[in-house]
This record gives sequence, C-alpha cells and structure tokens, in this order.
Amino acid sequence: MSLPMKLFRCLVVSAICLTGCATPVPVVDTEQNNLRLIATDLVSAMIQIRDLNPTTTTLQISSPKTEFGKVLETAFERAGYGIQRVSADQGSHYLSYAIRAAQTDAGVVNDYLIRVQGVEIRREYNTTETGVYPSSLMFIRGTDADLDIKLSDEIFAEQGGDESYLSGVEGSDQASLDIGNIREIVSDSDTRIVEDRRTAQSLALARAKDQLFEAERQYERDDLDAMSRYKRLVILFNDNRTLELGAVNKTAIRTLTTDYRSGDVFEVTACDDFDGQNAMAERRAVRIKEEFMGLGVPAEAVFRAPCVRASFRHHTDNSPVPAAIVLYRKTT
Amino acid sequence: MKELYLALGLLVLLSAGCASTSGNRLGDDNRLTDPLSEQLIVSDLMHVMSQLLPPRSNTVQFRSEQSALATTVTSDLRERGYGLQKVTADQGANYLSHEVIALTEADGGRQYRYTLAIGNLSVERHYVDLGREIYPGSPLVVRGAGTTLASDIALNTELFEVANDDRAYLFRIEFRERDVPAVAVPRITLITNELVADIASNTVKAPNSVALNSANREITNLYFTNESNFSSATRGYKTIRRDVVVFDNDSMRLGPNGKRKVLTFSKQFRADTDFIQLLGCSNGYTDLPIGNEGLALGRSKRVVDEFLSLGIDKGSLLDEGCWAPDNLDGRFPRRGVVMELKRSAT
Repeated sequence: MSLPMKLFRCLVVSAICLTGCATPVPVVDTEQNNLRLIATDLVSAMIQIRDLNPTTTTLQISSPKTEFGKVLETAFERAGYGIQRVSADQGSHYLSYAIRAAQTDAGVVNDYLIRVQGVEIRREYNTTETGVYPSSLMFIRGTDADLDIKLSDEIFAEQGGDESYLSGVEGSDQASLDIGNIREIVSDSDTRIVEDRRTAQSLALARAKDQLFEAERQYERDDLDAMSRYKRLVILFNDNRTLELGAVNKTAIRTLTTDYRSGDVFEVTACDDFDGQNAMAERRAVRIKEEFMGLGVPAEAVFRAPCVRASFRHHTDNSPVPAAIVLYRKTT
Repeated sequence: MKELYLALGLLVLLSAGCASTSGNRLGDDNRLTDPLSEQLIVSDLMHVMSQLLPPRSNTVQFRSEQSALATTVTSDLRERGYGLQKVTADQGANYLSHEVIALTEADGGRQYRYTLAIGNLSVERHYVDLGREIYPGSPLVVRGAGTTLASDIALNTELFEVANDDRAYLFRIEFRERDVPAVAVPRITLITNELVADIASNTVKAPNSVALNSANREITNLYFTNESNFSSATRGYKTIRRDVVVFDNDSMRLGPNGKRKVLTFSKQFRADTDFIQLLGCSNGYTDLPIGNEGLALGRSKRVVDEFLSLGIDKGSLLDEGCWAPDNLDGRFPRRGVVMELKRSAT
C-alpha cells in the first residue's frame, strides 16, 4: 500500500475516533418546546397591556418549581421585563401562574394562565402528536386594553399538523367581544416551517413590543399648539444603526427630565429621513421614549413627532444621527 | 502495526483540541484577578451601593452579553433582592456599567481600579493584588450621591482586615461629584431658555425641514413651501432681474460660464437699494454623501462667495435652498442657483 493511502486510512480512523468528543446534538424536548410556544403566546399578549409595559414593569417571581415556571421566567426576561426574585408572594407585580387540567365532556382541557396585578391572561391549549395548538380564544381579565392586543399565535401554525384554531381576544366584558377580530388559523403542511427556521421567541416578543409602542401613539399628547417651547435638547446617536445612547446623552436626558412637571410634553423628533419613514429612526424614538419612561415620565407625555424631511442622507451614510427633544409647557 | 501507531498518534494529537481546560488561573474568563478576589471586591463595592440604592425598590438594567465580572455583579444584585432587567442597549435609569483598569505600580506590584456604576451613582476603589489575597489600595469613592447621605453609609468592615493603623486611612468613604464624561461632550446641546426663544423667533411656523444658510441662519427648505425665508425682508421690493446659474451634476464648481453670469448680474446691483436673493437647488438623485441639502446650500454658498469676491456686501445677499431627492413639480431647477435682484420700490 502506498504511503498516501496509508496516511488516508490513518486519518479516516482518527476522524471516526474523534467523533466521540464532538458536541452532542441537543435532543429536542417536545414538552419544553410546547411550553415555550405557550409562554410566548401568553407573554406576547401581556406585553401589549399598557399598565404592564415591560420597560417600566418589574415582576416579582418566586423561584420556579415547574418546567412551565422556568419557561415563563425566560420568556419574561427575553421580553425585557425586570425580574425580582422573591421568597414568597411579595411585591405589587407578583407573578402567579398555573396549568389547570379539567375532565370535560369534550375530553381533557388544559388551561394555562398567568396573573399579575389583577390582570389575568388565560388560554386553553390542546397537545397533539405534531405539537401544541390553542383551543380557545385568549381570555384577558382585569384590564380594558384587550382590544389593542394583536396575538402572535401564527407561531403554532408553523408546526404544521392538521389543526385549526381560533385567534382572538375575549376581554373583560363579554358583551364587547368583537367577532370581526376573530379569525381562524389553519395549520397544515402549507404552514409548516422546518424547526430551526420557525419564528424565534425573542422575535415574536419583540414584535409584540413594537405593537405596544405602535398602539401607544394614540395615547401620546400632541396638543402642542396650546403650549410653548420650554427647553430643547439635541442628542446624537453614534451611527445610523445603534440604539445605544451613551453616558453623555443619558445624562443630558436625565438633566432635562428634572425640569419635567405634570402636564408637560416631550416632543421627540428622531426621524429626519428623506423618505419620511424609517424603521431605525422609529426605534430610536422608542429608545428615547423608553429612557424618559425609565426616569418616571408617563408614556403619554412623550410624543413621537412624525418624520420631518429635513435631511437627505445617502443610504451609505453612517455618520452620527441627531434626535431633537423639545420640552413643551402649557402657556400660562 | 506502524499504521496503527500512526493512527493512535494522530488521534492523541487531534483529540488534544477538544479537551477542556480547568483551573482558575489569573486571566481566565477575561478576569484580571482570580474569581474569589473578584467576588470579594464586588461584595465590598455592592455593600456601599446597596445602601445608596435600596434593593427591594429598585430594578437594575444590564446587558445580556456579559463579562465574568458582570456575571458576578448580577448574581450579587440578585441575591441582594434587586430587580434585574435584561436590555439590548443601555436602556434604563439604573443601567449597570463597570470598568476595571489595571495599574502597574513602581515596584512592579499589581493594582486595579474597580468601578461599578448604576445609573447616576458609582462606587470605585483601588485594590492591590498581593498574590494570595486582595487588599484595598484606596478609600472607597462614591460619586453622584451628594453628601447628604454621607453619615449613613458604612463600609463592610468584615471583608478586609485592617492590618495596622498605617492603613486605617484606606477604610473610609469619600463622596465626590460625578465625573462628566469628557468624551462626546460636543455631541449634546442642552439649550437654555434664551436659546429656545432665539430659535423660535428665527423659525418659520411649523417648518418641515430646516438648515443653516451661508450666514448660519436657520432657513426652511423651499421644497415644502412657496414662501421665501426672506419674504418679510424683501416686502416692497421688485424683482428687476432673474438669472439661473446651472451647475454640473453633483458639482459645486461654478466654472467660467457661471462666473461670467454672476459678474454680469452684479453690474446691475446698487448697494443702497438692492438685495440679491439666491436660491440654491438640488432636486434629484445624488451620489454625494452630503446629500441634496449639502449640495443645494453648497451651491448657493459658492455663488455667495463669488458675489463677495466682487465686492458686494454680505448683508445684501440672502441665500436659501431647495432640496429633495426628486423633482416632482418642476417649480425649481434640478441643479442650479436662481439669482434674483430685488430693488426697493421706494
């Protein structure tokens, strides 16, 4: 046998032996996967309740004792909620959760619920061989914000299977159930997406947060004509892609906030892009709004101004981006 | 047999790559000090921080991509009962940041400055690495807390042993003003009431877009309005001559033809009765990074400079701009400067 052939055989033998130390392929835990989808569904709904905005809400959570608790805690953390570990049920935003199984004439019904500060979010799910699917509308009690909520339950259809389910929210007042907002989602081979390409939990939660801030616009006060400019601050983001404010900008916003009085409005103009709409500019505006909210300014007191066509950046221009903040005060 | 040895040899060599290392050597996990010392340092700093910022009623924001030190800090925060909020940028009023700076002493010893900041508050202290133990190398400095709390805040005296009276001066707290970060100071402008009033008086009502002209005056882009920024200044004036200087694509070069046109135009100018109003335009796609705005205002400034070189007073020149990535209605030239000679009717 020639030397190259011997060497080749040696390498093959070595390679076979080496497979023993390769990273093991993670075993997909179906139950955990199902719970993760359920947690994503419930938490996505909760994110969109104004009073439970993740930016300003810290949940008190006991050390999770069940798999559902662990999965929920991860989902809340990914959604951007503050998490405070407590030994009992301390705190104004203590999170309680439960899975309830009921023997009914329709078979076993599993009902998953989370409850925070008087708000209860609950939905029934049905587990099949292909995955888990909602088997009821989303029930939301204790808030009147339910009509603004857009569910992200298409994630269940990505499992495929041969199921259909109703997507919609049933609010506190059953009389207000809007049939027009209920739709049927069919889950079959057409909707199936291979496992590693399905919507990631973080993406689904980020979309829910975007939805919250989009819905938030209707509460923002824009009656600026009756007010006068009190102070103005221009901050610069380092480039067109970053959401990082940096220490100086943060200090400047903190300083400006010390002037805030009840009734004042901050107008944030973060978009001056030529096409009048810019996803990154919108995120910058949200970022600034979050900063104000973190400093205790109510969400409705931060008005995100529409895009002004003030500059025309070339698409390759990645120079610092300005955002203008004007503090308006009622004219006395 | 030789082949078998060869294969085994290769196997040993190759498998070395997938063996894991263990031990807590200095520098592992990007740590400057060993984990136990670092834990001690974090306990020391957090003991003071937790008195400044009560744990049960505060949530601390931290970045998800963590260093070993950040992991130690966040687990300390969790144990103390703080709420923890994972953020993607530097969101939050209580955003956690930290810094470790290695300082080399003259005698070759190792000393580190650890700084932990939560929002506006920071605690920092120097620590000397003595090999088997770590020891404070400076008093603990608190910034951003004022001095009102000074008498209520205490060090944890159980963490380090005060070896002798010579080192007693290290075991105290100094309250200092917060350092204003020097970097990027020009990036912000906190505008005062006076400045706001000034801007308000110079800004046309509800401007859609504004920029600065050659005289650093804030002007509105005429693409969005039919009213000139100088309409009040030229009220009662008649337009007695109108010319357009056309520039090459993406160019601010006036060229001989443009210069001749400006010269001819200037001959009619009378300093006592006239204004020259200039409108620089760039309407259409541009490859230049300065964009249409820079191009439009750059062109009008170029014409302003030419008039200045011909001896015309700056105060008689009123320049503004019109810029957009398209030329929808054709009201303005795509790449020219409109020159209008305005003369007082009286």
